[in-house]
Amino acid sequence: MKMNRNIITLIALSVILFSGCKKYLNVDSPSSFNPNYVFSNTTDAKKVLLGAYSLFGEDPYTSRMSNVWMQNTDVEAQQPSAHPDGSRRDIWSLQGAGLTGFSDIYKAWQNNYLAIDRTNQVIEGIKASKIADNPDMKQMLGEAYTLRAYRYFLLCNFWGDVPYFTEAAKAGMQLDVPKTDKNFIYTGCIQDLVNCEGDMYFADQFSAGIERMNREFAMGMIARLALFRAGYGMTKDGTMKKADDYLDVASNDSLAVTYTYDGETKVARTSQDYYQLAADYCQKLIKLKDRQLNPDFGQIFKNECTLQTPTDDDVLYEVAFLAQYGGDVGWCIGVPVYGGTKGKTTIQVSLTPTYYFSFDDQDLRRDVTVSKVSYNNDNDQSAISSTGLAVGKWNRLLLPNNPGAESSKGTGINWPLMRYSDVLLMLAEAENQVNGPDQVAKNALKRVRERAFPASAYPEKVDAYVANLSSKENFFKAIVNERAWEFGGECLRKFDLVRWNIYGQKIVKTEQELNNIGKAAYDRDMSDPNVAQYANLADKLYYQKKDGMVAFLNTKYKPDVVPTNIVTEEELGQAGNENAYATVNWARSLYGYDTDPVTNERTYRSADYTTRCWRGYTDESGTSAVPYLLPISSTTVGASDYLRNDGYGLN
Amino acid sequence: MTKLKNEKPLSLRRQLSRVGFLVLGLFLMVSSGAYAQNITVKGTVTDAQTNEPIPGVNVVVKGTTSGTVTNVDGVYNLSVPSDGVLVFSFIGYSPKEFPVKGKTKLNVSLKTDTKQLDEVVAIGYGTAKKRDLTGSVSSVQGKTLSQIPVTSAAQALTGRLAGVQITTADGSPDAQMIIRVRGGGSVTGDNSPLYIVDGFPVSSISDVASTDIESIDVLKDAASTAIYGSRGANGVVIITTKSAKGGKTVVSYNGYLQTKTLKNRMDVLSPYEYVMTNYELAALNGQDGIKGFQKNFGVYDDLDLYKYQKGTDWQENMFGSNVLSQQHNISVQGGTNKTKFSLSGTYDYNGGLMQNNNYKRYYFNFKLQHKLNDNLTLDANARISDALVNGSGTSGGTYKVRTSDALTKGPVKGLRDFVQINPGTLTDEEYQQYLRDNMTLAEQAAQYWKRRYRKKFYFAGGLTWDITKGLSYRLEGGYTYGFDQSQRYWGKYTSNASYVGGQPLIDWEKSNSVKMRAAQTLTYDFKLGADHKFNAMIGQELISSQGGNNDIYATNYSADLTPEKIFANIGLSDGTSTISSAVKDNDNLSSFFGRLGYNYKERYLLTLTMRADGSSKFSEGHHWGYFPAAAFAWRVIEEPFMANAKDWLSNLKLRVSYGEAGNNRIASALFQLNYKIDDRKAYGVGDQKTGYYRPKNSELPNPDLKWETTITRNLGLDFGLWNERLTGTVEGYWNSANDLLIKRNIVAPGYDKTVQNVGATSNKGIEFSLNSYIVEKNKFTLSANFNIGFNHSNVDRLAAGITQQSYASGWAGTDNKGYYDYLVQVGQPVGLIYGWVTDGYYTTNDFSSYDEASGQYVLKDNVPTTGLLGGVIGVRPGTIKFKDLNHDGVINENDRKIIGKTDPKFTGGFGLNSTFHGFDASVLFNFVYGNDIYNANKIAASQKYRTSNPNLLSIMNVDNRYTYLDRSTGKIVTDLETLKQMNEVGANKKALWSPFSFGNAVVLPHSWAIEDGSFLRLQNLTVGYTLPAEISRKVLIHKLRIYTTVNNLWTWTKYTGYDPEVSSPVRGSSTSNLTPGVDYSSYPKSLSWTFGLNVTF
Repeated sequence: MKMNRNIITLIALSVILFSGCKKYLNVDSPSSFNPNYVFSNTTDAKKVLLGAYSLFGEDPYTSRMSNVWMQNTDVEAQQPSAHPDGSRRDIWSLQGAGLTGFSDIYKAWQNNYLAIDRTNQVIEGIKASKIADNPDMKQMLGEAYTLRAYRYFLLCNFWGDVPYFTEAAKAGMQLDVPKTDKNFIYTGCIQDLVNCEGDMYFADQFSAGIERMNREFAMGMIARLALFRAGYGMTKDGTMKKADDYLDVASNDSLAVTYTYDGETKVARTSQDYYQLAADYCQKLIKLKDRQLNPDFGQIFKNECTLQTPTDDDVLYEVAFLAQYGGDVGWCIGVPVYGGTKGKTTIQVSLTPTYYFSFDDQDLRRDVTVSKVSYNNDNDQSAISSTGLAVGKWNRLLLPNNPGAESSKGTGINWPLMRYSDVLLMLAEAENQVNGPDQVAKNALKRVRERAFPASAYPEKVDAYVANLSSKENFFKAIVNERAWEFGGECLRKFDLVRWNIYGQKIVKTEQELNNIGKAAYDRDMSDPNVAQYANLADKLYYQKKDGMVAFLNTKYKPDVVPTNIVTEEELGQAGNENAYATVNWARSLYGYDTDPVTNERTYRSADYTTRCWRGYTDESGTSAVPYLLPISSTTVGASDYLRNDGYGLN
Repeated sequence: MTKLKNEKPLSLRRQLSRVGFLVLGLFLMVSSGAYAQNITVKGTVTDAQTNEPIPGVNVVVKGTTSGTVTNVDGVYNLSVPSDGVLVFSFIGYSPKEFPVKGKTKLNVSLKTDTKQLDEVVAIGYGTAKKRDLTGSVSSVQGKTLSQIPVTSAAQALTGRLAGVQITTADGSPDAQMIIRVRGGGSVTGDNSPLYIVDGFPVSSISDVASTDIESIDVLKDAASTAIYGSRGANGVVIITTKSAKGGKTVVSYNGYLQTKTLKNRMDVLSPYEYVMTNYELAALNGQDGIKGFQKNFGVYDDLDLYKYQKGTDWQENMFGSNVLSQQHNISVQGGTNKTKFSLSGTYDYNGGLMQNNNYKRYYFNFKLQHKLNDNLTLDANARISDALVNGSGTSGGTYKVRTSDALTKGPVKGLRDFVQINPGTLTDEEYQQYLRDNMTLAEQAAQYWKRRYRKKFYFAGGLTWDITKGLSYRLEGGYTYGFDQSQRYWGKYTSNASYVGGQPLIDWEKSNSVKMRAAQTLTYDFKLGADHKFNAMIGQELISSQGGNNDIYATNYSADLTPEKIFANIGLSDGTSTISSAVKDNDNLSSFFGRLGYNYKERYLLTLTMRADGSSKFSEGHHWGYFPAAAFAWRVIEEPFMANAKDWLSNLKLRVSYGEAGNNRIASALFQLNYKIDDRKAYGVGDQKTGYYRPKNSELPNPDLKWETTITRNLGLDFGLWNERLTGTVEGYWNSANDLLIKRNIVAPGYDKTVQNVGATSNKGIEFSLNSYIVEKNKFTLSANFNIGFNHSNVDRLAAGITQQSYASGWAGTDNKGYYDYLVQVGQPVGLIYGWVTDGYYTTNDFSSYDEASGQYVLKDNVPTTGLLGGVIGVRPGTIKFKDLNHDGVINENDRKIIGKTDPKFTGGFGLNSTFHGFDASVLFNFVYGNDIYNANKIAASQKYRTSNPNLLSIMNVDNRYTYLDRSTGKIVTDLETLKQMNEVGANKKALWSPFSFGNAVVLPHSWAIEDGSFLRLQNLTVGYTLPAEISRKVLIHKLRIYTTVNNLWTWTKYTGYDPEVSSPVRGSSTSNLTPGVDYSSYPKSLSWTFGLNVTF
C-alpha cells in the first residue's frame, strides 16, 4: 500500500504538471520581435527601416531597374538580337510587352511593393510609437515617405498606372485593387514629402550622410515628382498625355498639393502649377543648402568608385551598396574589365555613338562619361568600337579594396539617385516652363555648364551659349541636351524623354543620324547635306599602346595624316611595330552592306545596330507613343481580379 | 496472479498480449466445474519448425480456469486431473489440445499459425485484436519484412497495403519516399501521414533502421485515426520496433552487400548527328551562325570526320559510378521473467550512381522492460540514429547539375579545346555554359559539394500500473533531440563564387530540434452481465517541438583546399563571414482524448472516440479543435444463422465508421506579423554590414487561421474462408476535407501568398486485399497476396467565387511560356496538367508561298499562326504546330486545355511467397495505373533549351524529324517543294517537327510530352536458403539463411523517360503537392543485386 500511495502522489503530480501553464499554447520565440517593440526605440526602428532599404541590394534593383532596363534611348542603348526572342533583351528593344512570363519583371514588381509595404509598416509603426516626436524618429518617418515615393516613382515609370497603397497590408483589407492613375500617385507622394521634409536631417546633420535619404534628396524628389506630375505619361488608350489633358485637375483635390513657399500657401493643380512647385522646391533647397558643384566632374564618380561619400558635394543621395552583398555598378555598367586583379565586368549598358558625337569638343564631361577603352587586365587596354561605347563614370579597377580576380557582381560602388546639378537643371527647366528663359533659369543652366568647360571656354560655351537661348522653346531644347550631357550613363534619360513626350522623336533622330554618319563613312549620298555634315568624322580610330594603355591618334575626326603602317592590336607590341597603329571601326560600324555572291555587287543598308536597338518602335514620324511600359507579370495577372495587360501600348 | 489488462503500451505489445491470453485462460478456468484426482504434469513447449522452446505459452486444463504459463525455457509445471485435457495456446501459433492420460511428462510442439484473426494490431494508445477492430487498419508484420532486404521502412511498405501509395521520388541514395494514405486531402499542405514510432510522433521514419521494425500498422479511417485527433487526417503509420522478449539470449546478425547499375539509358544523337544538327541550327542563323559553328567544329566539308569520333557517354560519366552498398545489423535479446531487454545496432551504407553521392547511417536501439512489482511495470527505450548524406544530387537549382545535362551535353567538343574565350565578355548564362563546356559532369558536380549530417537521439520511458482488476494507468514520457548539420561548398567555377570574389565559399548550417512528449492514460475494462463488455480509456497528452539553428557563411577560400579541410578550419577564410542564429517558435500541442469500446455478445462492436487538440499554431480563440468518431462492426459469422456456413466460412465482419480528424500542418506564427533579423543583401551605409529587421513570414499574416477538418466515412467487409486459408477485405471510403489550409496566391503589396482556410476536397475509393495460404505443408508452403486501391480525388470547392486556380510546376522556372502548367479545378482531381495540344508540324501544304526577299513563309488564310515559339525558324514548314482550340486563327495562351491528369486510377501490388525444404522465395510486384506523366526531360532534351550546341534525344535524329539542311551542299533549303520531298512524302515522311521550333528559353507544355505513366514493376525477387538446423547447430548457429535479391528487376511501361515513378522536380516547394507527376532532372533509378546473410546464434 505504501507503494500505491507513492503512485497516487505521482499521478497527482502528473496531473498538476499536465494542466501546466496557461501560456503553453501562446508561444513566443526569442528570435521574434513584435511591432510594438521594434518601434519603441530608435536603434530597432532603424533596423526596420533598413529592412526597406535592403531591397535595393536585390537583383531587380541592383542591375534591372536602376540601369539595365533604362535603355534604349538616344543616350543609353544596348544592342539586342535581330528579332524578339522572348529574352530579357526585348526590354531594350522596346518589345517587352511579350515578356509576361519573364521572372525578372515579376520580381521587380514584387520588390517595389515589398519595399512599399515595409515603408508603410515603418510609417505606421513610428506614428504609433511612444517616441514619435524624437527627432531621429521623425527623420526616419521622412525617410520612409521618401523611399516609398521613390518606389512609386519606379513603378509608375516602368508600369504606368499601378495599384496604390498608403497602408501596410493586413488580412481583411482589400489588397487586390484596380490600378490608380499615376498622376494621383505622384500627387500623393509629393504631398507626403512636402509634409515631412521639414522634419528631416540634411546630409551633414546625421552620420548616414548621403547614404540614407536626407532632406536635400526629399526636396529634390519633390521637384522630380512635380516634373513628372506636370509632364506626359502613357495612358490606357496608348497615347501620351498630361494630367491636364484628361483628368479633372481643377476640382479633384486628390490631384492637388498644398504647400508653403516663402510664407505663401499655394495649391498646385495644373501642369503649370507643378512646374512652379518644382521651381519653388529647387529654390528652397538652394536657399537652405546651396553648394558648389565639384569643379572636377570626374571626381564625383571617382568618389563613388573609391567608396568616398562627401556631403555638401554633387551627390544628394546615393544607394549604399555593400561589397559582396549587392551592387552591380562596375559590373553591368561602367568601364569593361575582362581580367586583372579586381574582377570582371559583364557590361549591359552602353552609350550610343551619336551621343558621343553630340558633345562639344571642349566639353570635359565627354571623356568622363564615355569610355572608348576596355581593360584586358589592370595594365592593358583595348579600344572599343563605336557601337559598344561604355559608360566611363565607374570603373571597378579604382576599387580601394580588392574584390578578387574572379569577382563579378557585388562591387559595393554606390549608385547616385540625384545630384545637385539635377536640382539646378530642374530649376532651369521648371522656371523656363513657367516664366520662360529668365535669369533664374539661365543662371542655373550656367552653373552646370561652367563646371563642364575649362574657364577659357566660358565666354563662348557658357555665356554666349546661354545668352543665345532666347526663346522658351530653345531653352527647353538646351535643357534636353544638357541633361543628356550631364547625366549620361546615370540612366535618367528614358523617363525624362517620356515626361517630355519626345521619346519617339529622339529615336527617329538617332536612327537618322546613325544612318547619315554611316553613309558618310562609306561615301554614300554625300550630296545630302545631312550626310555630308559628317564627312569629317573618323571612319576608324587609330591608336598605339603605351605601357599597355591605348593612345588614340584621333578620337572623333579623321586624322590629318592617315597612318599607313596598320597592324592588329596583338601585333602592336611586337618588335618593329613601334610606329605602327591598330584600328578600331568607328563611323564604319554604323552602316553595312551585303554582297551578292554571284555578281559581287554590294547592297547598302543600315547597320544591324541601328535596326535592332529600337526595333520595337517603327513610327518613322516619331510622333506616336513609344511602347516603353513593361507588362504586368502573368503570375500577378493570373492571381488578380483587376490587373490586366490591356491598353498602355502593350497590345 | 496476473491481472487482466487490455490497454498496453505499444512497445510491449507482444509480451502483454501473451499475458492477455493467459488472463483469458484464467477466466475460462474460473467458470469451470469439479475435477478428478490431480497429478503433476511437466513438459517443454517448443516451436515445431525450429525446435526452440517457447516461453509464455498458456497451458490450461480444458474446461477449467486452472492453468499456468511456460517459463523462459518453455517449461511448464501444472497440477492436472489425470483424465484432463491440456490446451496449449500462444499467439502466433495454432492452439493444441492434449489429453493427459495419466502421463506426467508431456512435451508439446506448436505450429506457427498463419491465420490473422488473432493478430494484434496497434491502434493508437493501445492495441486490439484484429477480430475486435471496428476501423480500417492495414498491417505488415515483421516476418514479411525480415525476408527481404530494404533500406527503409517506407520501402518495405511499397505495394503491400491497399490504399497506401508509396512513391520513391527518384533514385538518389537518400531518395524521399512519399507516402499517401487514400490520396490525401490537403491541397497545398503536407499530405503525409502521421508517423508514430513506439508511441512517439516523429517527422520522418527514415531514422528507424528497417531491421529493427517489428511491424507496421497503417490506420486509414477516421474511426481509427481520430484518437490522434488533429494529426490523423492523412492516416497514421504506426511503427513498432522489435521489443524485449525475454528468455534465452538470442544473438542474430543480418547483413547484405548490394551492387547497383543505371536501370535505363536514354538514346542520344551520335557525335556525327550531333554536329550535323548543330550545323543545321548554325546555318539557319545565317552567316554569323556558321562562323560561330566553324570556330567550334570546323568547316562543313570536314564534318565527315565526326563519323569516326567516339563521343563521350555523359550518362555514364554522371551515373556510372561503381557502387557497393552494405548493411550490417547485430541484435541481442534476452532477459528473465522480471527483466527483458533487446539491443540492436545497424550500419548502413548506401552508394549512389553519381560519384560522391551516398549516405552512411548508424542506428542503435535499446529496449528494456522491468517489473518493479506485481502490478507495476517500467519500460525504457533508447534509440540513436546518425546519418551522413553526401552529395547534392540532381536536385535542381538554376546552375546546379541537372539530369538533362547528361543528355544535352555535346558528346564531342570539336575544336573548342583550342578556342580562347574571354569569360568577361559573356553574360551570366553564357559564362555558365562556357564552364559547362569545359568541365565533365562529374567535375561540375564536384563544384557543388554538399554534406548533411543528421543525428537523432530518442529516449522514452513508461510506467504501467495495474491498479485493480480491469483498471490500469500508464504514464509515459519521451524526448528526442535532433542535431542536423548541412555543409555546402561552392567551387570557384560556380556563379555564387563569382559574386563574392571568385573563390570558393561555404555555408554551414547547424540546427537542433527537441521534441518532448508526456502522456497519461487510464484504461478500464469491465463487463455488465455476460454479454456486455466495455473498454474505456481516457488520456491526456502534451507534445512540444522546439528548435533553432545557427549558420556560418564565409567566403574566399583557396581553391586548393578540399571542402573537408575548409570545414575543419573555417578561419582560413580570406573574405567575409556571417554568423546568424534563430530560435523557432515552439510548436505546442495540448490534447485530451477518450475512447469507449462496447462489445455485445462478440457480435456487435461499437467504438466511440473523442479528441480535443489545442495547437499553438493558431491564434487565441482558434487554438482548439474537436474530433469525434464512431465505428460499428457486426461480426456476422457469430450470428446463430451463420452456424451452417462455419465449415467453410471462418470470418465475416461488416464495419462502418464515421469520424473527423484535423490538420494543422502549417508554419508557426502565420497568424501575426513579427519581425526577424536578417543581413542578406544588407544595406551598406558606411560600407558596414548592418543587420536589419524584416517580417518573419513571407506570407501575409492571417489571424483567422483555424483547423482543417477531414471527415471520413468507411464501409468495410472482412472475410475468411476455409479456416482462414483465404482472407480478404473490401473497403469503400469517402473522405472529405473542409476548411483546407491552402497557401493561396494573392495579389497584395509585398506579399504573393497567404495561408487561408478555403475550399474542400474529397477522396472516394475502394480497396481490396486478399491473402491466401495456398499450400501449407511442413516442407512446402505457398502463399499469395494481392491488394488494389482505387482512389478518386476531387476538388469540391475553392475560395468563394473561384472555380479554378493555376499553379506553376516551376521545372523551367519562368521560361515556361504561359508560366502556369497546372490547374486546380472544382470538380476535378488535383494535378491537372495544363498546356497546348500537339498537332504535328506545319507542312508545306499550310503555306501558299515563300518570299525570298523577306525570308518569310506565307501561311494560307485558314491556317492559324503563332507567336509562342520564338524559334529561329519562325513559322515555316516543319515548325511544331498546336491546335487552335478557340479557332481564332492565332495559337496563343488562350488555346490551352487540360492535357493530362496525374492522379492514378488505381495502385496496388501482389506477391508470392514460398518455402520448399530449406529454400524460400518471394516475388513482389507493384503497379500504378491510369496516371499521366509530364515528361519535361523529353522537352528539354529535344530542343535547344538554355544551352549552346545541345545534344538531343535520338528521337530527334534527322530521319525522324523535319530538316532544312541539304546535306550534299550544306545549304538551308527554303523551297517549299524541295522541303516537301525531303520531309513529307513516302519514306522521307518525318514523325517529328524541327527541334529549332523553339527559342532558347522557350519551353511549352504540350500534349506530346504527356505520357501514360502506368507501370507494373517487378520490384523485388528474393531467393533464400536456410541451412538445416541439424547442420547449423553443429557450429552453434541456431539458424543460418543466405539469400539474394534483385530489386527493380523489370518495369512494364509505355513511359519513355528514365522511370515512370516520378515526383515533382521542385521538391519541398510549397506547391509541389499541386504539381505532381513532372519528370525533370530526377535522379535515375537503379537496378540492384543484393547478397545477404541472416544468422541467429
